[in-house]
Amino acid sequence: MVTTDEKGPLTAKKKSVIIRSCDGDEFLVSESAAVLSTSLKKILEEKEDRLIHLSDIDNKTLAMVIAYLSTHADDGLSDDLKRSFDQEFVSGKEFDVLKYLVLATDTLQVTCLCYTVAKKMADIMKNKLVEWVRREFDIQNDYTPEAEAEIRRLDAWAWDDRQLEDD
Amino acid sequence: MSRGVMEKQGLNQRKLLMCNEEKQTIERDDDGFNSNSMDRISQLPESVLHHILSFLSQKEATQTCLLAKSWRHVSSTRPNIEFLEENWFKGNKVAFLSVLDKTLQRYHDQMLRIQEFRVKISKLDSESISLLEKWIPIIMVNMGVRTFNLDLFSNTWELFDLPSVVFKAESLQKLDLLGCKLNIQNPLNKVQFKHLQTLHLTQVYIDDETFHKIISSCPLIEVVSLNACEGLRTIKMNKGHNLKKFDFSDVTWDTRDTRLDDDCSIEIDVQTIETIKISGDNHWYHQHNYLPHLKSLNLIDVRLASWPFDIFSCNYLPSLQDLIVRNCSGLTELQLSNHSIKHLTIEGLDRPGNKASIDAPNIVKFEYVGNIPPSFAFATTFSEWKSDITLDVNAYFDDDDHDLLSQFLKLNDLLKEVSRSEISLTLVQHRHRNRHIAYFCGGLCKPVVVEHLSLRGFYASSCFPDFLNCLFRICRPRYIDMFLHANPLDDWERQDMEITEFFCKNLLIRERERTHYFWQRALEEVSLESFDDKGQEWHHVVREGTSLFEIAAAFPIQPTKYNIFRSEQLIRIRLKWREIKNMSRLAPKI
Repeated sequence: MVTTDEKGPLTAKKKSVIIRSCDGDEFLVSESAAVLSTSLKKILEEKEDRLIHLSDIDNKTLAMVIAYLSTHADDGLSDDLKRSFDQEFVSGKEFDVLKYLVLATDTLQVTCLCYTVAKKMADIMKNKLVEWVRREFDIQNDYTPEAEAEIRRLDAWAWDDRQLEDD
Repeated sequence: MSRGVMEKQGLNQRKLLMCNEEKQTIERDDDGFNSNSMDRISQLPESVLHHILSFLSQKEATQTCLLAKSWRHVSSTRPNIEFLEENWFKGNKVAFLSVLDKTLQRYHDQMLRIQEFRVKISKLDSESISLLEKWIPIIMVNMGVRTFNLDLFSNTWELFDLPSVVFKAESLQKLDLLGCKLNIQNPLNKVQFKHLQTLHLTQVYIDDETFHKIISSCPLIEVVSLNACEGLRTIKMNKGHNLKKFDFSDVTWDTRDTRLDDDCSIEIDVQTIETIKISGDNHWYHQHNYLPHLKSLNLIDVRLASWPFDIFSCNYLPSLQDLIVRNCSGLTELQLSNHSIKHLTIEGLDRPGNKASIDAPNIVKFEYVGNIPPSFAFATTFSEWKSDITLDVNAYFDDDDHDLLSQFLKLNDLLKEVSRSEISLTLVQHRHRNRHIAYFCGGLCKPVVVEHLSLRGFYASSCFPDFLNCLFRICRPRYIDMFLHANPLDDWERQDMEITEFFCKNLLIRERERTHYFWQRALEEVSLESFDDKGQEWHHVVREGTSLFEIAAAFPIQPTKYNIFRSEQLIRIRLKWREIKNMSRLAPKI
C-alpha cells in the first residue's frame, strides 16, 4: 500500500477523483479519501481514469459516504474525534437511510462504516419481538400458522423464556 | 463534517469528463436492491443481512427465521455461533449441550461456514468435554473459523486440554481462550496460525515452548494479552514481529489462591510495539531497547531490578506519551527526559533517598501517589499542565518522635517543584491518631498555591487544627473540596462529614475562641459553593463578597441541614487569602 507519507501529503491532496451517483450528480473527492473504499482503490489502481460512475448509489447516500471518507482521510483529526464522528454519523438516522448506507458501503467496501451502520441496524432490532420487527419493516408474514408453530417447536429453546418486550 | 473537501461539480465539468463516463461502473453482482420491493429490509443481500445478524445474540438471530420464509435461510446460515450457557437454558445443561450439538451438526451437514465461534460453558463435565473434543477439530480445520472464543471459567485448576489439532487452524484471526490448557505436546507439531492477529489468554496453562512456537509462527500477530496464565517463565519477543499491543497481568480475581507463584521474565524488543502493560510480580527487562512506536507503557507492581535510571528517556522511547509506574520494586531513582510524555503517573518511589528528576516539557498531567514523596526535580514545561498529588499521611501521626515538620517541608518542596501546574492535593489518613503537633511557623518556606485540596479519612481530633496550621503554612488552597453524605454508611463517610463540619464551623462560622490559628485571620474571603442540581456548574450557596459573619448567618451548619443534599455530594469552600508580607504578624497570640 502506498502511504501518503511516501508520496508526500501535498501530491496526495492535489489528486482527486470525480464520483457520479446514479442520479447523475458528481462529487469531487480527494484521492486519499477515495482509497479508503477498497472498491474505489482497486479501480484507481487499475486505470488512471478520474471519473467513476456508481450506478446504484443515489445522491443523498453518496454525499454521506463521501463526508465519512473525507473525515477519515483528514490527518489533522485525532482518532478520538473520528470515533465520535462515527457515533454522530449513525445516530438519529432513519432505518431506510441506514439501509441505503449499508448497501453503499457494502458495494464500495468501506469496512469500518459498513460495520458501524450494520451494528446500528442490529441495535434497532435488538430486544424486539418478531411481530414488532415485521410491523416496523413491513415484512409480509408468508408462513401459514401451522408452519409458524412448527418452526417455534423446532427451535423451542429460542422462545422458551420471553423476556423480550414489544414496544 | 468537513464540507470543504466534498465539492459538487457543475455541468461544465461533466462535459469534459464525458469520454470516460462509461468505463468505470460498479454494479452489484446479485440483483440486489430495488426501491419498489415490498418491505424495508428483506431484499438486502444475504451477506449484508448476515453482517447485521452477527451483532445479535444467537437467540435473537434464531428468532428472525420467523419473520418470513426468506428469512429462514438467512437466519439459519448466519456464520456466527454464540452459545453462552448462563444466558438461557436456566441451568439445564443437557438441553444446552444438545442444542449446541444439533446446531453444529446442521452447520456441518450443510457445509456452512462458521466465521465466529463463541461458546461459554460454566461447569465442565464429561458430556461437555466430549462435545468439545468432538467439534473443536472440525470447527478449527474445516469450517473456516476466524474468531474462536472458548470460555470455560471454573473454580478449579482442572483445565480443559485443548486438542493440539487447533494449531492447524489456518484461517484463524483471533484466538480467545479462558480456562483451558494449550499445549503443543509434540515438539514436531507445527503451528499454522498464518492469519492470527489477536491472542487473548485468560487463566490458561501454557508453557514457554508452546507460547514461543505460536509467536514465531504468526507473522501477522498484533495483540497478545495474557491474564492470570500459568506455566510461563520467560517471554521474549524479538524483532521480526508486527506486535502492537502486549498485555500481561498476574492478578487473579477469583476465589482460588490469590497470587500465582511463578514469576515471569519479560523482554520485548519489537520495533512495532505501541502499548505495553505489565502488572504483577514479574521481571521486565529493558536493556536500552529502542522502541520507536511505543506510546503507552504501564508497569504495575513489576520488579525492575538493576535498571538504568534513564530507561524511559526519548533516546529509547521517542514516542512515549503515557507512562505509568506504580509500586515497582527496584526503582530507586528515576531520570526521565522525554519530550513526548503527556501523562505521567508515579506511585511509590517513597523510600528514604529515592529521587526523581523529570524533564517532560510537554506534560499535560502528572500524578503522584505515595507516602513520603521522593525529592522531585521538574524541568521547565512549555504547556499548561495539571498535577494530582495524593499522599498517605498516616505516618505523620504515628508517634510524637516522628519528624513531622520535615515531612511538611518535603511536601512543600514537592509542591514548589510542580507549582507551575494546576495542583490538586489529596491527603489521606486512615487510622485515628492524636498527637501533639508543635507550632510550626514555616520559617522561610513559601506557601504554594494549590487549586484543590481534599482531606480524606481524617478525624477532626484535637490535633487536626494544628495539622492544618502546618499545612496552610506550606500551601494556599483556592478550593477545599468536601463531601457530604446524607446517610453516612461507614467510617470513611462519617469522617468525611466530620471534616466537612469542621471546615464549615471554622472557616464559614468563625468561632471567636479559635482565632489564634493564623489561617483564620489570613483569609480575606470565604464562600461555599455547590453543584447545582441541573448541570455541572458550580454555584455559590451564598452571595459573593459577604463577610464571614453574614455567611454564617445565611448558611447555618446544622447536622440536619445535610439532608437537603443527595446521599453523596461534593461541595467546596472557596478561599481568598490575604497577601501576607510579614508572617510574624500572624504569629499566635499566646
